[in-house]
Amino acid sequence: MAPGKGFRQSMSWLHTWAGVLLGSLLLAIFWTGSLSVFDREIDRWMQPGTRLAEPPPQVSLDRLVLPHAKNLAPDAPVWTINLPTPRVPVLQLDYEDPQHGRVRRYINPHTGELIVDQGSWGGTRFIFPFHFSLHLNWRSVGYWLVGAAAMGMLVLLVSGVVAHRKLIAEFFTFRPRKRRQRSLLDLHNLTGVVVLPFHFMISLSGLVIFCLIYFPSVAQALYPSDQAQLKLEGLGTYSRPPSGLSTDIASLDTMLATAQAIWTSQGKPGGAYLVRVRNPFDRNGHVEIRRAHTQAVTMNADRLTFDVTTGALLHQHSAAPIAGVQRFLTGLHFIQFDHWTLRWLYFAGGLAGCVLIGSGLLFWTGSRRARHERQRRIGARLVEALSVTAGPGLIIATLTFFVANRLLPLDGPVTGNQRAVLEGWVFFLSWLTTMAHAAWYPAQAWRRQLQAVGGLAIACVLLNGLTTGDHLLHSLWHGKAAIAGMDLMLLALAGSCLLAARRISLTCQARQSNSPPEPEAQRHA
Amino acid sequence: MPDWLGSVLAFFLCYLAFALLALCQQAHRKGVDPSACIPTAGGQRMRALCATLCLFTALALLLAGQGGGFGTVLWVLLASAAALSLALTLAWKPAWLRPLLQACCLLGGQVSHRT
Repeated sequence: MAPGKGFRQSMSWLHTWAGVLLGSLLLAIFWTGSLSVFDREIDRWMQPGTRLAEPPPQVSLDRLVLPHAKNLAPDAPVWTINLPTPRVPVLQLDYEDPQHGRVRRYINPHTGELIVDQGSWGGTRFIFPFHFSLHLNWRSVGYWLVGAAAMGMLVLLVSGVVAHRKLIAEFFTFRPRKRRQRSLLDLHNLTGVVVLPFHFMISLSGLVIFCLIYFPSVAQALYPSDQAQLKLEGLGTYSRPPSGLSTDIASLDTMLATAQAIWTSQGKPGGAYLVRVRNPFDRNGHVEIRRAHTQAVTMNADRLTFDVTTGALLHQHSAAPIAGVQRFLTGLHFIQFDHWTLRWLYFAGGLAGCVLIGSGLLFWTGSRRARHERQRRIGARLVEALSVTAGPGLIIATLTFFVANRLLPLDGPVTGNQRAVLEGWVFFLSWLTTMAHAAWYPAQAWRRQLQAVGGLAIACVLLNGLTTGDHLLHSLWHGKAAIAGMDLMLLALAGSCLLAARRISLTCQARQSNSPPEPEAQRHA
Repeated sequence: MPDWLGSVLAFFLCYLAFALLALCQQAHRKGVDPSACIPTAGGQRMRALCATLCLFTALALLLAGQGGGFGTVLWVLLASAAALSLALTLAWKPAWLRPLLQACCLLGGQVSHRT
C-alpha cells in the first residue's frame, strides 16, 4: 500500500502501518501499565504474609529494622528501607546479597518480626518492570523498545486525529448494533478521541521519565567526565568513597526526626518514605532520606543526606525549576500520590488504551482476512495471531502467573526456594503457549482464549480463598480492600471474557446457519 | 465539601455538558427522540454556551476543592470518562437523555414545529 498523495492519506497510511507494526507491543505495555496502577494491591494478593492491619503512624527504625539489617546483610554496601504506608503495611528492607542478588524482606511494623520470605516478585517487581523494560535488560533493549513504542503511540495519536474524517460529527458515536467492522471502527475512534488527553499524557510522560536513557548525549555533553556530579545536581544522589575505617551507625530515628523538622520548617507537606544507608559500617558512610510523594502530582526530589556516624546533615537537595517539569511529568505517569479517584481513572484510561489498540488491530485484520486468504498471503493471519497473543494471550499469562503463585509451594524441595523465578517462567511459557495456539488454531483462538481467561480468573479467586482463607466475603467483611478489590476485578474480568466468548460463539453459529448449504455432491466428496 | 462529592459533581457536570453538545447534533437528537423539535441557531448557541459553562464550573469546583495539580488532572480524566459514558448512553440507552432533550426544547427557545 502506497502512502497516498494528500496529507490526510499519508497520515492514514502512517497510522495503519505504525499501528500494525507496534500494536501488539503497545497492547502488552498498556496492559501491564494498567495493572501497575495497582501493583501494591497485587503484591498483597500474591504475598499473603504482608496482609497486615494498617501500620502505626510512627515506627522506630533503630528498634525494628536495624537489628535485622545488621543480621541479614552485614556486608551489603547499601540498605534500602521503605517505611510502611496504608497500601504497603509492612517495613521493606532491600539489599544486595552475594549469593541471591537483590533481596527484599518484609518486617512487621507492629512487632518488628521478620516476615517469612514471600517468594514472589508480585506486581512491583515483575509486572511493573515488564511495563517499562519487558524484562529485556541486556543493553537496555527493553527500554529502547518501549521508548520506540511510546514514540510510535504519539505518532499514532496525531496521525489518527488527522486521518479521522468526521472527528466532530462522530465525536460521541458508537454503533454496537451495526456490522462488526463498523462497530469496531466506532469503538476505535471513540476510545482514541475521547480518551486522547490521557493517551497523549501517558505516552509523553513515559518518554520523559527515561530521557537520560533515550538522550544520553545531553548528559554526556554537560558532564563529560563526571557522572557523579550529574547525579548530585540532577537527582541529589550524594556520594563519597568509603574510607575503610569502621564505625557504628548513629540513630536513624533521630535523622528521620531531623528530616521531618527541616521539611516542616520549609513548609513542605508529608514525611519520609525511604531511608537508604550507603556503606553502613564505614566512617564515610551516609544516610539518604527521601520525602514522600503522596501529597502532590509532582514527584518531588527532596532528599537529605546525613553522616552515618555523627548524624550531621551533609547535603540537601530539591529539584531545580527545569528538573521540576520533568518531575511533574514523572509524577503524572508514576501516580505515587494518594488519590483513589485518580488511581481508578488511570486504570480505566489504561484499559481504554487496550481497547483502542485491540479494536484497531481487529479492524485491520477483519478488513483484510478474506482477501489475504484468497491471495494466499499470511499478513492478516500473522497480525491476528499476534493480536490474540498480545490480548487474551497476555491476560492468560498474567493469570497463570497468579495461579502459579497460589499453587507452587513457598519453600518446597521442588522449587528450591526459587518460587519467584518459577512464577516468572510460568508467565513466559504460558504466553508462548497462547502464541502457538493462536498460530495453529486461528479460527478458534479468540473464543478459546477468552474462555481460558474466564476459567483462570475464577480459579485465581477460588485458590486465593482456599490457600489463604481470605475469600471474598471474608476480605470484604474484614476491610481487606486490596484483596477484595483484586478478587472483584478478577470476577469482573471472568464475566466480561466469558460473555465475549459467548457472543463470538453465537455469531459463528448464526453465520453458519445463514450460509447456504453445501451441494450434495460436495458434501459426499 | 468532601473531595469525593466534588469529583462526583464534576463528573455529572461534564456529562451534562457533553450531553448538551451531543444534542446539538441531529443524528444524536434523532437517536434520543425521533420526533424531537428542530433547534434554532440561537438554541444551538445556548446549548453550546451552557455546555461550556458546565465544563468550566466542573474545573472551578475541582481546582477549589483539590488544588491546581490534582484538580486539573482530575478534570481532564473526568471529562474523558464523562464523554465515554455519554457515548455509551447514546449507544445503548438513548432514551435516558429524552428528559434533557425535552427540557432543551421547552427552555431553549426552539422552533415549535416537529419533524
